[in-house]
Parts: sequence; structure tokens; C-alpha cells
Amino acid sequence: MSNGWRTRRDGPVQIQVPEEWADLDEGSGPLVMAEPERLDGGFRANVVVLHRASEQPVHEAGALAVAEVFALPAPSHVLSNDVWDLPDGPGRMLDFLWWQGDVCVSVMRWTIATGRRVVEVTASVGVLDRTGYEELLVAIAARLAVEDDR
Amino acid sequence: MTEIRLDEDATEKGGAPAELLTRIASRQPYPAGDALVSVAAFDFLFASRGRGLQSRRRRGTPEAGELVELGWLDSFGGPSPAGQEIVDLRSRAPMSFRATARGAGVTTTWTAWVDGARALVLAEPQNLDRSAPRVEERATLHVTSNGSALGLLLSWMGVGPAWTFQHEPGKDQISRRALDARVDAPVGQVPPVEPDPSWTTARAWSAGQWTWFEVGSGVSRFGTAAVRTGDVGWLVPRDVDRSTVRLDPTLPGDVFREVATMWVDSLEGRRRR
Repeated sequence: MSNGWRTRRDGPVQIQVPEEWADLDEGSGPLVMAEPERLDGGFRANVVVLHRASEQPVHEAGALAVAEVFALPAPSHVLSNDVWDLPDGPGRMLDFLWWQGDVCVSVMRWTIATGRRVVEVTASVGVLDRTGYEELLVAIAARLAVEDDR
Repeated sequence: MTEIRLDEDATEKGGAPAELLTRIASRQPYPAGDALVSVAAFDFLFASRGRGLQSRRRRGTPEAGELVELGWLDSFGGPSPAGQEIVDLRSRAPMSFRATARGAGVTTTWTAWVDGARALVLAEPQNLDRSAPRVEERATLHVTSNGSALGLLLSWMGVGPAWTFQHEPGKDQISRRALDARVDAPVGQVPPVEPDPSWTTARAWSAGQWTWFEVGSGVSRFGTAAVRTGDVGWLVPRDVDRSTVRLDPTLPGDVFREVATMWVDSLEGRRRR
């Protein structure tokens, strides 16, 4: 039963996205999935999953995630950083904006630190679409599972 | 391994290591715009619309001089093509958003005029920390997209990460007089906190400047109010009675959601609760 969702795997990490979303990765490297092309040509909501072997505790991974936003080669603004735990490990949810010319993108980045691995789920959407897409993007992030740590 | 600084108070309160989040705000200045302009000159430009030429007396004002320097007025005193674009955007926009930032005895204003996908944004200097030396009193003007304007508003409000805790133990209410006094207090002259403050109130009280934000759209008359308590968080004041307010600790992410929802609902003409 797919229930409208399909599973993507990258090593010990798996996540689910809506069936109609496209895979933009080449099957190697980070998972990259996006909603179908939009009729209005607008920014496509997308999700990227990265992971690395690391014993970093969550507060260090969280601080690093904030520092990475400041290192972006584009104007950006960090809005919030909160505790967001998963069954597979403690986490943070970082909320920030960045600008690509006149396009303002809203990013939610979940960072989970299991003690053996740090996993980042990054969901991006045009800022005006943020409130309408938030429930879906949170549902995708909540479908993250990390398997090598048990 | 990089040394990560902890917020010691939040770590103790939350019972788990919490990375230091304060000081992020001061590292996130309001983005540079297309021009810096005094509000008086901006209003003068708008008043010049439809006039092919201006009287010599009006052309001799400091506002006109500023606009000529910006290239927005031509030698006859009427808007140049660049000036006309700004005038058109403002006068045709069916929607406007306005925010005020009241703190340390000063109120500054942010305004956006939105016409479909385009927006004109005029921002007076941020009012987050009047203790910093002020080098620029003019407003920043952006000609940008609708979505970018919303992002600029969030930047102008200094919405940034902060560890947020509920009040207990201790009082979650203060007198309206004490709240007004804290908001209006000049930097470095913070009045004493009322007895038995909660952990959250005490931490916020001793933080930097408090800034009372009111944000709304021109058509809906619905808006939102929230107080930024330095870099340590946000409190939303709720009336208890005529003399007392409850200060609801609010996640910065919820301040963002509230403003973004107000923005999108206003554009879609939805009534808000």
C-alpha cells in the first residue's frame, strides 16, 4: 500500500515523498525530490536529504546548521531554530530565508543527530507558498528514518 | 572540533545543552536596497505625480534637491522615468502592508505597496537597538517582488532564533503601565521589574531593547502585535483587563507564521478571525 507516498533510500537513510514528486538526483549522492513543474513557472517546492557519519551531539550540529546559513553565497536571514526530535534521534528545526535575485525562498532544515550519524532534511519553497505547503513538508520530514543506529 | 558556545541559562532551564542563539540578530542587518531616501522626499515625489512641471518655489526645496540627486525628478520638477516607475507602483498598488516598531521612545515605520507580483518597499531604519550608533536616518527603498517584500518585513522586524520557555513558575502577567514603561525606556534606563517575575519575564526584562511591533494590511484592518524582547525572544501581549496584560511567550517561528499568514490571507482577500 503506497497511500500516495513512495519511499526513497540512500544507504541507512530513507524518506517518503508524495508519489507525483520527481526525483532530481542521478541516483547517487544526496536525495533530491521536487514537486511537479508548476503551470505558473514558479519556484518548485523541493526536499534534499544529506547525511554523514558523525558523533556530533545535536547542539553542535544545530549550531553548525546556523553557521552554514551565514556562509551561503547569497543574502539570507535566519528566522528560528527550535528543538525537533524524531524517534531516531534528537533534532533541531532551522527556519531561514534566502534570496536569489528577487525570489525569496523559505527553507526548513531538520537536523537529526543520532550519535553515529547526522542527517539533514532541507525543504525549500517560495516564501508566499510557505504557509500553504508547511503541513506537507513537515509530513515529509516526519517520514525520515535512520536505520544503521539501532 | 569547533568549540560551540552554549546559552547557559537556556541549557539549565531546558535541561539539555542549548547552543547560543543571541547575537544572531545583530549579524543580520536589513538588506541594502535600491536607494536611500528621506521620507519627506519620498512623499514629495508622490505629491509630484501628474505634474509636468513644478513651481520654482517647490523646485527649490531640500526634498526636490534630494530627488534630483537620486535622478527621480527631472529639471522641470516632474518625475523622471525612474521616479515615475516608483510613483506608478505606489499609486496602482491595490494592497499595502504597514508595520510600526515602537521602542526606546522612538517609532519607525515599514511600508510595502504590492501590485500583483511586484512590490515597492520603504523602510525607515530598524528600531531593534537604539544603543548602537546611528549613521543612517534615511529610509531604504526596494523595488522588488511580492514574496521578497514579505522577507524584507521579517528581516526588518529582526525575527531571529531564540530559546522560548513558558512562564511558570512566577507571574505571567504585568501591569500595562510597567509594559509601556519597559518598551519606552531609553536604552540603559530600564525600570525595575515588578515583583515575582517568571524566569521568562526576568530574562527578557534584563535583555536589550524591547520593541512593540504592530503589523497589518491596508485593506483587512486585521493585524498582529508582538513585542521583541532584545535577542532573547518574543512576547505577545493579551489584554486581561484594563490595567493588566498577560505576556504569552511565542516562538520566533510562530511570529514568522503569523506575519506570513496575515500577508497571504490579505492578498487572497480572506477574512481573518
